[in-house]
Amino acid sequence: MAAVEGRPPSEERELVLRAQRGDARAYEEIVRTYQTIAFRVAYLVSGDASEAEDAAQEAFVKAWRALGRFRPDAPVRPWLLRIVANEARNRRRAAGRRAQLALRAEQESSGDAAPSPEAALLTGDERRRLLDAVDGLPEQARLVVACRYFLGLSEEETAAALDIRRGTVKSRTARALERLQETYERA
Amino acid sequence: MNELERSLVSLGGELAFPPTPDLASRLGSRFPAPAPKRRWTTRRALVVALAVVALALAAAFAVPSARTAILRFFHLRGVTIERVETLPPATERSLTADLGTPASEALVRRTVSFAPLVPPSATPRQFYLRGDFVSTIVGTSPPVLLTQFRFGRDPGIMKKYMGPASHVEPVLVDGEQGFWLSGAEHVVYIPSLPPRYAGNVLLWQRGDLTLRIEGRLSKSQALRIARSLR
Repeated sequence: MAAVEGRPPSEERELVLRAQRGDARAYEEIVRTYQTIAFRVAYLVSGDASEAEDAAQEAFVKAWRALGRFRPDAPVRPWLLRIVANEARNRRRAAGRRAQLALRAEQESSGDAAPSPEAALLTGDERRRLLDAVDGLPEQARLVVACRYFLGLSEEETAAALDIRRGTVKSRTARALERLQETYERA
Repeated sequence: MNELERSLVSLGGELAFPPTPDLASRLGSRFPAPAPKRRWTTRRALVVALAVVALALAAAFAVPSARTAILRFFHLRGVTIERVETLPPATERSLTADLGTPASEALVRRTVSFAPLVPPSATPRQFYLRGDFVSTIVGTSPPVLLTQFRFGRDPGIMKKYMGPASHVEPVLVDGEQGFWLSGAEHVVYIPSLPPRYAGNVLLWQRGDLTLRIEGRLSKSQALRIARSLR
């Protein structure tokens, strides 16, 4: 699973408390910590880099305005991701677009460097087949798989980002994996 | 975690996401520290009242059912934006169609009596003149159309019709009023030209000029170009 971005809880709580007192620099630090995962969630939901940029930016502004209502001892990341994904979803609906995965595997290195242990798991052909299989999933299943495995979000964060219950994340993940297994093995 | 899940994680590590924009640096100026508590004054009451009106307007823009009522007509100097249930007939035309007569910067200055604004890096500067409108293609990636004109006596020299799936958002560009039009295409009417569909557009005013940027670009990109114009 991908490493989770973040800070030690005590440090994060201190930043949140400072930001709630109006310390813009503390909030900038929070944004800097989570901007990559926020942008990627927005990109997965919206399927468009420009929209994702706008959505993430606007979401951070909305979160700043809503910071007064946030409990400082709660984790920041799921709360932020919920706002970001919601903003991206609204923009996608306004544009009348269907969410697409819009992702491709990076080209394989042409150098002599040894592949990373993770990269060695899949050949180029396997990567393409697996990505096609994920792309072929229904939208709800595709987003759950992308959040859980591509972005490394926890069940709680995936539930927040997709605005569904944690139990729904579990059941959708299980069904998506079954379907992927069938498709991937057939391909 | 089974083999399929491990493969998915491995695949996730190799996916090419677009580069993350530096939102923290860009947003810094939008997080003003709250003002210190002070006594309730007439000036403060006025500021709060204006803020409430602004919030109500923003909320109305965001709620589709309220758009028609509020945005039936909306004016930015020289431009009328009208919210309609059904868009009028229009044609798809490229950004570069019907821009007018090619003109040098010197000819533009003589004809319309103002110095057209351009991004600092826009060279060579090729302009097009059509009536009061000065247009140029800004060679960003993707290229965008920049149109500008000086506000005259006609309050609605350009008209825009927005359907229910379009989004209008008030914006400030260097402290001056503007609008970001996005979502589904809208229809633009320019005098003496047939109506055409337009994509995302940033409209704003600067001094006595009204400016318009159109193209396949995000609000952030449009605002960056707008703020760079000299």
